[in-house]
Amino acid sequence: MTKLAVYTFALPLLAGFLMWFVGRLGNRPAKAFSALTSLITTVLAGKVLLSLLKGSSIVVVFGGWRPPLGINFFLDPLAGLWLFSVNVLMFLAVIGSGTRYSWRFYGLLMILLAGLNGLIMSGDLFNVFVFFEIVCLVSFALVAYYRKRESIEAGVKYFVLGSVASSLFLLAIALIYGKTGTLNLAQISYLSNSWPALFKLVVFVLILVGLGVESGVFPLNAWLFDAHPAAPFPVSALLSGIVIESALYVLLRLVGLFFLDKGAVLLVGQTLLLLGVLTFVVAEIVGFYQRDVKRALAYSSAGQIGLMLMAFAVGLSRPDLGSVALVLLFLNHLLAKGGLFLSVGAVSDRSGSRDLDRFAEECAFSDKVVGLVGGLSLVGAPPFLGFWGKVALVFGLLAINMYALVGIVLAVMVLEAIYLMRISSAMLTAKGEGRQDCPGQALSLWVLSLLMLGAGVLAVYGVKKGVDLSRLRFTPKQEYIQTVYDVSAYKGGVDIDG
Amino acid sequence: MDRLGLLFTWLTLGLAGLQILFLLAGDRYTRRPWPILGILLLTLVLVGLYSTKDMLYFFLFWSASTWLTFILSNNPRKAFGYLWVSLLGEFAMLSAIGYTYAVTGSTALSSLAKAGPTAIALFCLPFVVKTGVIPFNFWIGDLYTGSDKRFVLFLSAIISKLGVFGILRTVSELPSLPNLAVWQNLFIYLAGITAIWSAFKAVGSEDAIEALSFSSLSQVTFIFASVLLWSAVSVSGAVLHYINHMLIKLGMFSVVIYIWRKIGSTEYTAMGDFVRRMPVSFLFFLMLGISLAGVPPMGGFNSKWLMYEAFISKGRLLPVLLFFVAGVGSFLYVYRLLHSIFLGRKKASISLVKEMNPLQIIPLVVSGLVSFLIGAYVKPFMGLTSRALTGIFDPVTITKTSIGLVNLSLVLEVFGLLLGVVVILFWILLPKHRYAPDTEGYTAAAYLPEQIRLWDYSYNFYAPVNRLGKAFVDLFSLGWLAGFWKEYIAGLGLVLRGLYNGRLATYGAYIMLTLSGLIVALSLLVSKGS
Repeated sequence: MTKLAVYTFALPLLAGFLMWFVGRLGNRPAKAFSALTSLITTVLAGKVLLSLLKGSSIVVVFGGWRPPLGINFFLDPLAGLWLFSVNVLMFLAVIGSGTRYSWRFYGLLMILLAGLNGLIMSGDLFNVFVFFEIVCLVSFALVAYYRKRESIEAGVKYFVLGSVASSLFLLAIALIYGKTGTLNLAQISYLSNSWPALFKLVVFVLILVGLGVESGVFPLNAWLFDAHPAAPFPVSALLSGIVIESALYVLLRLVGLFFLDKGAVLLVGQTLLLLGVLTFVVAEIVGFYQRDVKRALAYSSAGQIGLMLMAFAVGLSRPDLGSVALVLLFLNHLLAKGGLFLSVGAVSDRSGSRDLDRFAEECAFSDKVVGLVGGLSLVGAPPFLGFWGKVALVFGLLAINMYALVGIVLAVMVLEAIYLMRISSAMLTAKGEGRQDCPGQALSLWVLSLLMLGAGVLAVYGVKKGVDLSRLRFTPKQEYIQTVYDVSAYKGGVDIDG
Repeated sequence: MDRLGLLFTWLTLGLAGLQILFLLAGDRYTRRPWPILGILLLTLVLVGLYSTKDMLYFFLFWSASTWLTFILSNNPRKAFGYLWVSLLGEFAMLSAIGYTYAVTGSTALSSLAKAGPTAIALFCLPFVVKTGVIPFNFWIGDLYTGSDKRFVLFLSAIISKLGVFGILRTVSELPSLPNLAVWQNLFIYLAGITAIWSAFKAVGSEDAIEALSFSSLSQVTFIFASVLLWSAVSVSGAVLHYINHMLIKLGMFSVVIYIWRKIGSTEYTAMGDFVRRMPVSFLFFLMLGISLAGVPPMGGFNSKWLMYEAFISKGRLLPVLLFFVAGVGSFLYVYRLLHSIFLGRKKASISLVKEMNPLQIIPLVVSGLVSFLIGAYVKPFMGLTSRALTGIFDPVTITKTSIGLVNLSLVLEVFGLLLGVVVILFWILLPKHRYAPDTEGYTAAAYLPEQIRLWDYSYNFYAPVNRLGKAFVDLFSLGWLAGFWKEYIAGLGLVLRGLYNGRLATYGAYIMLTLSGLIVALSLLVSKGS
């Protein structure tokens, strides 16, 4: 099983480089090649997820160099789910991308997939940085893919802000390495208990801001609202569905490993809660007044990130509600926003307009279905995952006595519902019958619709059958360290403090 | 399922069955499967709603009914107002459920009492929204006139009254009633104002579907207020009027929808003198109209009588006045409906209509006959409502009120007799009228359809009444409030939008400010904590 996990990273990386040769055959073979690669990685990731759900976490050690000396991957059930979901959306985005993109585009997508898979699994801080950089650089290129004024401007903004963020993250890594002499996450986590308060605080803020830019946390998320509309629609779907969420995943994983000591947990929780509320409220209010549909969806993405941050913060006090809310919101957003960007983007490309009143002149039936199902799912209508996620979040907030916050969140959710339903209703009432570039577009939209419909029902069925959703959580610090050291040469009484 | 749920289940199943019969017996368009399947699905959802006493399940069924209504309306743009205001109500309901769960650890409806009056009010907000009580009345016109005509009957007969069931179910499940007098009074008066507002709207409407829709709002708010009054008499009257109104709207809408399929319009100016081609429909439409106006010997009289009685016996004279004014309005719009559709000047469209086929007319005949039975032999129907309310109130068959013992059957018999005498006198004493030939009165070469409103007296029929109520209608249509709200929220949106001004330098500054701000704020907090 450990090999399969490695292949999910290695195969797309190889495919990305091989694309230079495959591309000589034409763009269609390049698309087919990347679709095949992402399908294989999806199957592999699915197998890894199944084994994780049945058993315990997996630690992959490279080259016989056991941690903390060597590099390792770490996979718990949450990481497995995240990995699988990322690969599913990548596969659907590739087959739903139409016929207009060149082999370079698919090559970049494969490298992006490799970076994302590596980012999710990495158990080493510097590798996290490397994969993070791969993801950022490829994303910059993909956003600017059209080489028009708008896309280049958006790409440059993203590049500059992303570089500043990477620098801050690198500075945090340097400080940590200087303090601990190691880059292994488990060992840093173990040693973080003895960090001075000020050092911990500075590192926390550097990591929060560094990764917060890519995650779309307020007010660091300004790049996102230019990048999403300017990017090709499959890229918007991936940026929204998996790139910013994976950055958030890494941020929350690192926060969980380094900064949740007994003394700091309250402060960290309150900081994340505050940022989450601000991200959610500001993004949704601004999104409410957007006329550009892709931009409105981008604001909605930032809003959902705010909800996920809130869910994580709630999970620090009420793991039973917070962690469940986080997973459900994450999955819901991945499917719904992926589907919405794939359909809205294609529809607006056909009409040549992104204006709310004009973008949906021609909609295929599958576009309409995704428009409705995706909208409902994001709004949080039953029985979609979004509903259960929002219910868990609201109950969690109530359980920690945040009554006023519940009022604010519910009121803003109504605003979110209004503008998302405006988009959905525009698609539903489109008069023209849109023609999609290829059958793959309709197929990916149908699959996403079915996944959205099925996921909520399956979640309820699973819970009724005794599936414990709270297993899908960030592995707590002690358990993480223990799991990594169980495969380490240092196991059995060797001083891990070095 | 308890008796209350069972009554509502049977009523909904019966109505759904009759409506589906009406659709199936119609033409190819009304027989299409999707609306019928949709109505069946919605009926199942409602049965779930009637059967549950758990708040979370209640919410699920309630929410499902909202979305299905939105989908079945088949006009997202027009149904949009309904959707978002319903969502607003549902979020309030959800927060009440969450709060109750946090306080009591239970989601049973009965545990709502322990969560306090605010939680109860929040839980009940969707009922007010769905009923359309001011200020949640702005979506009514758009939803009804914009909805798929095959669905509008179910919408008016059942969905419009879901709020009534919601209040009934919620309050009847509370082990003890907390002090909710402020909310109770507020919504009773608002319901009264809504009843008048919607009666004016119905009177001034130029479209039969719109008029019937606003009529529904006027009647449903009366029922809603009676339930809020929460006495044995008021709730019995409300449930009886619920049944009556359901039947009335089943019959009247079926006629209007049938005509729409034949002539392609529901505007009054397109109809007239259809009594000659649809005499049976006219007879039953007339009976239902009489019932809607609350005139003996039809059922509407009984139920309205009970509701008035309840308000008077509790000393609430102002609501009585409000609903009485609305009742006068109901006379006016019922007369206009009858006159414009069946009487009045003959229109060219008359050649397109004929009597409904025997299957299609069944719902109209059934509703007319049952409504008459409720009027003439109310006792079994009162028994039905009493059984449904057993456990909530004492049985009410012959009503004892502060102004004496009321035997509704006796009242009906006396009124019925008097009415019969009046009709006979009219028949004997008044001279017989004569039908004018089709084109008599026209001298020019042809009709000018685009100018029909200039010469057709069925347009702006109640012009003086419309002028009288214009200021009132405009005030409570809340268009001004929507503009006010939009302007201020838009202002906030623009201020926040200004944060994202597109300048890279600004965005870079945000990163630095956040970095320094967080370090300073957190270090202050850490030093304060240590």
